[in-house]
Amino acid sequence: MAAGPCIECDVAIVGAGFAGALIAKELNKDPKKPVEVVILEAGAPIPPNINDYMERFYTARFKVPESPYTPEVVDANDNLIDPSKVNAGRPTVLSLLPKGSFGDWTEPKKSYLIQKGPRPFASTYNRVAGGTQHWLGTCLRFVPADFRMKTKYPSVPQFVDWPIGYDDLNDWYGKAEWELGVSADVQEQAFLGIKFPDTYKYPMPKIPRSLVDAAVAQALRSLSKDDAAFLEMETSPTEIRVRNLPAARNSQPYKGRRACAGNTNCIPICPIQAKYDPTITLNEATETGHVRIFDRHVANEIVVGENGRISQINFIQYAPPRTNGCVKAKIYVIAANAIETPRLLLMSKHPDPKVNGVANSSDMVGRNLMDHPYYVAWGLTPTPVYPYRGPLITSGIGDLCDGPFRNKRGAFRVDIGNEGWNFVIGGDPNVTTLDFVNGMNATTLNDGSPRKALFGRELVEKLGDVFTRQFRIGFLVEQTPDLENRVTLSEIRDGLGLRRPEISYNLSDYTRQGIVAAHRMKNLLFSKMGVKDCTKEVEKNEPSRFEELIDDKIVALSYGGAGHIMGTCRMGSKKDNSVVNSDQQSWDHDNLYLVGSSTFPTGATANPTLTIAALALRAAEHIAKRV
Amino acid sequence: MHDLVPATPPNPAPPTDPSKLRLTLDLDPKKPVDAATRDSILNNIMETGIPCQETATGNGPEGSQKTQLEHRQRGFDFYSWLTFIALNSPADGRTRIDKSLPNTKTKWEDRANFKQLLDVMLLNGEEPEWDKKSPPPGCESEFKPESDMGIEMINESYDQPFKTGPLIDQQGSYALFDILMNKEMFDYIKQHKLYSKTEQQSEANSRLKVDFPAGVNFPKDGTPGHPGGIIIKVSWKILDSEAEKRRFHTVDAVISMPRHGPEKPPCLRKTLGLVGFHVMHKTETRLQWIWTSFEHVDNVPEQQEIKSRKLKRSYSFYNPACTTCPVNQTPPRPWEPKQSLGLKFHSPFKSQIVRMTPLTDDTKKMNKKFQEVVRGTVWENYMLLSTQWPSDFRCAGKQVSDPKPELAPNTDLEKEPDMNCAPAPTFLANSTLETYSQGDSPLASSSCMACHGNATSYQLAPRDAETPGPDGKPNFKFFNQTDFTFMLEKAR
Amino acid sequence: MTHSPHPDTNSIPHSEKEDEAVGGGFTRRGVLAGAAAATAAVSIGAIDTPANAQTPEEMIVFVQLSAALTGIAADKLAAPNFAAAVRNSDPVDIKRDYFAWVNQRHPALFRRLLQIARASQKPPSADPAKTIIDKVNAAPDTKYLARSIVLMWYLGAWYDPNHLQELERPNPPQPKFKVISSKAYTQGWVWRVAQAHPMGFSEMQFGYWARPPSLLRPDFIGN
Repeated sequence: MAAGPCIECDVAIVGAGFAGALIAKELNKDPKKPVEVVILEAGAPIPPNINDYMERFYTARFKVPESPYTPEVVDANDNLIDPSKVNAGRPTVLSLLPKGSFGDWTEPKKSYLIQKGPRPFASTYNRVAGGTQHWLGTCLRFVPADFRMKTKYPSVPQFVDWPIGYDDLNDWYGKAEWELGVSADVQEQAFLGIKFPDTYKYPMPKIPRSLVDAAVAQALRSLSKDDAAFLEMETSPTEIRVRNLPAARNSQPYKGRRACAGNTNCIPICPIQAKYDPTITLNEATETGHVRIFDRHVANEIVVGENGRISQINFIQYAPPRTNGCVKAKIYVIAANAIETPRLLLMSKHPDPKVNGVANSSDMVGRNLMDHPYYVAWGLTPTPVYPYRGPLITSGIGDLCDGPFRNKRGAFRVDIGNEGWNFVIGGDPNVTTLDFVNGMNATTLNDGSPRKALFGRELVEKLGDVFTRQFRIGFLVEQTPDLENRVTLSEIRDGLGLRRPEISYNLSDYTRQGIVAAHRMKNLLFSKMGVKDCTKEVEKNEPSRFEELIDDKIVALSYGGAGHIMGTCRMGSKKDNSVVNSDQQSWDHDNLYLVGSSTFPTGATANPTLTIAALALRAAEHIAKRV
Repeated sequence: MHDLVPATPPNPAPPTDPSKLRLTLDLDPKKPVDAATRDSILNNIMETGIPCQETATGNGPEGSQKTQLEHRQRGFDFYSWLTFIALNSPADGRTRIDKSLPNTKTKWEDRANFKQLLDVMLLNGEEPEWDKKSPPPGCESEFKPESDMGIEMINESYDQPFKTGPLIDQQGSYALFDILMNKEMFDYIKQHKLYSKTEQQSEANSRLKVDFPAGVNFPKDGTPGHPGGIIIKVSWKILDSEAEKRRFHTVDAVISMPRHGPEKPPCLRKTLGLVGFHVMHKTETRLQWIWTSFEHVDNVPEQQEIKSRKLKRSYSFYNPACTTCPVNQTPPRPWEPKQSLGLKFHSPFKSQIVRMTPLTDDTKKMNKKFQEVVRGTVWENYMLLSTQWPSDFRCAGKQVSDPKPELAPNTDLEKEPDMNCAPAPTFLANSTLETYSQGDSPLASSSCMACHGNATSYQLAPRDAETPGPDGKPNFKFFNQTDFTFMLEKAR
Repeated sequence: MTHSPHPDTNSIPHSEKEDEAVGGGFTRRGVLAGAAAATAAVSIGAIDTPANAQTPEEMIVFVQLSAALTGIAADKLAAPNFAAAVRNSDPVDIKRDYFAWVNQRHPALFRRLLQIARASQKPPSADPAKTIIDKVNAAPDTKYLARSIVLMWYLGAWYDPNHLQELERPNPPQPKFKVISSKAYTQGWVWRVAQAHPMGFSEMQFGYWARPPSLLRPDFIGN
């Protein structure tokens, strides 16, 4: 199949995202002991500047997380591009819309992921050198309980324990925080059992909190025991703390990059690179002279040779003219995110014909697909809180992420949004402005009869009043690892003729109850803040809609995706029910490592990136000993 | 003037009332520059030193045929040329620039007037002395303090800001970059101990709002005028041939290669030619500074010149014969110079650079005229790109509307929504110093003020910064802005 | 010891004097005073070089129209924060882009709107802004184009007037718009009305979000 000899190296990595970049650099941290690394990246290379990314973003009609990056999401007429025509496609939030609509989630001509349901998997990713560049920047550590869900909460059958614990990762978290450049204060981050080595300091002081944060903190300062009883914490809190969110966002000059200037655009792109992104590490890695990145190279087959060891990885190179090729290495690392990694494994043949896919003797590859279902609500505060200022999120509530309630329902972490209704109403300020200029009511704020259509001073007063009081809250809800939530292969192909990922996805009752609790928390918060709830009623045809009985009333709820894709190659202590061991090494193939959040056995509530980074550095140490 | 070598009175003498001094230059291309005009400009610059306060008005020659913006731009460009001539005039203070030789030491190269950044931001935050210049490490025996420029290479000496990449000339050598400051900048940094990262983070400095001195000709209180803060950034090309050495302003340099570990790095002796010249100058009317940039005329072609094939025979950073070389691409990695190769790049790659934004016709006209003024010297091979200046005068001078007594009297870094006060032109890039971020994409493409406006220090918030006072509002506002300079983040 | 070898006035740090020196400025009072301001400006204004561009008088009227419709001070629209607007001291000059954009798409209707603005400056109109708004609202074609112009200034995006009319009907389609340019997006006025900045384009400083914003009037939108 391959034309010409294979590229040879010591370590071959598939995927130039967080995990891939960090491992490549870490393997070459000692110039006296270089390791020849090849990274195969499905997407476009790192550009010399972000001019094009910013242009694409500024002029995008849909400023979704994918909008600055390639491949293009929509064509010149703002129609979704058919994924079967795209070489290295990826999902977009625009294809999560109701059946029959512009972005029909079930229509393969619109949705890169072939979604079988019953519910849509709502998260997306990038395929470009730098990987998840569009991330928010949040760098939270998991709390100790998160690693021990089966032991601590045995009544929830889906849970398993991680084969490692918080103490195993404590130092690695610190290394990852210094590598990415995280801004936070240690005293504020030691909650729910999180602890730090005695002399540990974060690289930079915390990012100042916003006025929105202050308003939330004030409202939750004194609660009655009844207020928060529904949370079923150990003891019902009389104050719920708002804590600064540790983030890989410079609060000072760091490694030659500027400090945050509050562009309020972390997702999808920071115009001044004050937020860390993996292109920084990729550049440092290639600077060693021992790391090569092959962009527009899509790995399409892992070839298993003697003794179950990987002998080579085949790829398709699609910068014209298209060619096939291969790479040979001593050690192989798949770092292609929790959907593309299992896709590649399933596309490849295991020596045992009874096993479906490389590394899959446990049959766990692709299973236990998890996200943090994201529940949002929004409203107007009684007095201005001045959103649209500062980083997208500067503080959150993490103190509710663990407690006895976890025997019954998923935990949630609270995100306090600084961007008004931009994210929740489908592109504010455009939507609200259009409402009041053109007499419409998409926001429910222009509900008089007749509707207001304003000019001049009246328009300024109205919009000034509304925008300065827009408030939104988000909840990352814990999802159980469910066997039937999985990635498989569809018969429907992409532009290279490769089988696209097929997704089966649902929310367990445990997870839905977590969303219910989040909903109650929202009610508590809104009532304490005096927020007028403007959350729109979920349309009946909304694919993410579900109903729950809450206090004897049927309430329609919905969820979005947090962009946190986890679980599909989970780690464990036994090979019969996990894909990799605690070093992220495949049980089946001893020279194969699977890294990234696909290895998370449970997802908890913290954003996965810091844990991905910590595990990647740890895996790099393991790999380095064997090269 | 405290920081310039005193000059003996030139001939002819300036008028006795300094406020009546006027310099004019007729920009009509049909009228050559006559000796009297040349004398007037050059003698007065030599006598008076750096023009420390610009004035630019909305009127000028060609009256209503030009917009107010164009008139003011011309005023600033005029100021820029005078600044260029003043800074590059011979350091002895007696020789006029049009009598200088290619290697005549300039005012800014004289360590009595300007100091290199690394001589201020010393290792371990040691306190710097104005008069002290240590030889670059590894060059102790080689360095001749009176005649040599000493350069200690760090990443920023060869890698452009934010690690955007090195520039490799057509002979395969690295371009080198350096930053210098004048005494007023130095004094402020020393007074507040900003040369030390630890000191920047002290309790005392948590309440400091960095505010460099602003130049003024005639202070209201009758004290002597002073130039204010001036920062220079230069780019150098390594010159090998004698022919080249006649076209550039040159300097003899000893350069120590980037350090690795405790051993002394190799020391190289090179002749450097000036190819790029940035000046930042803070004045009382332009508290957001005035930003000017010059280049050597042989650096790179403009897009239009390539389209119309009106190219020179050779350029420093462009090969006219190569029509397939990718343009404005960064070199292949690794970027750090290999110690064994000196300052030659490790691969045959040569930077193929094109100027994305052409100079305006007005600037080109002015360049021709001033090049005539300095004709006969290497300085006629330099041209102004443009001057970036804060065009929103109400913003530039005023305070924010509600009274904030804790604000220092000068630069107001709290302005919203535009702290930079509408820079004109919106974008500006030097093809040797911002090679890879040329363009017109907001924030992504090079703009002196948009980028420098983001500069911060290592200052920490005071402990009570967030504590609300009796009125519920925080007691103290924390500022870590460095007044538009990235120098402070180089403190070690 | 140092002298400014520079022509003309010196030592005056404040802009007001310079602006006044060059002829009157373009204050709101000047706008509301009526035709006099327009005529005076024409006689000293610069002639624009591009062949198909508007005359200075048309630009003034366009700014007056836009100020009335958007509620943002005229001198802010003409050049963010710059007083003597008509003579083009605005390095960004988005008004020029906007004029050309509308003029290209709806030339005749646009001229009618400009004429409404002109007529509304004359006495006995005591409140030209209100006069403009009332007249514009009187007919659907002027009304919807006026709304398109407001959305253009606020959002840097173009919503076609016929589409706007469509959107007001029951069961409307999804709103469609086109971002005019990256420059236009970064010059949107809605963000200033919100006392913030366009997402992805902040010209402010680290930590500003921890403090309340400057005042809506005059810092963000003038008047």
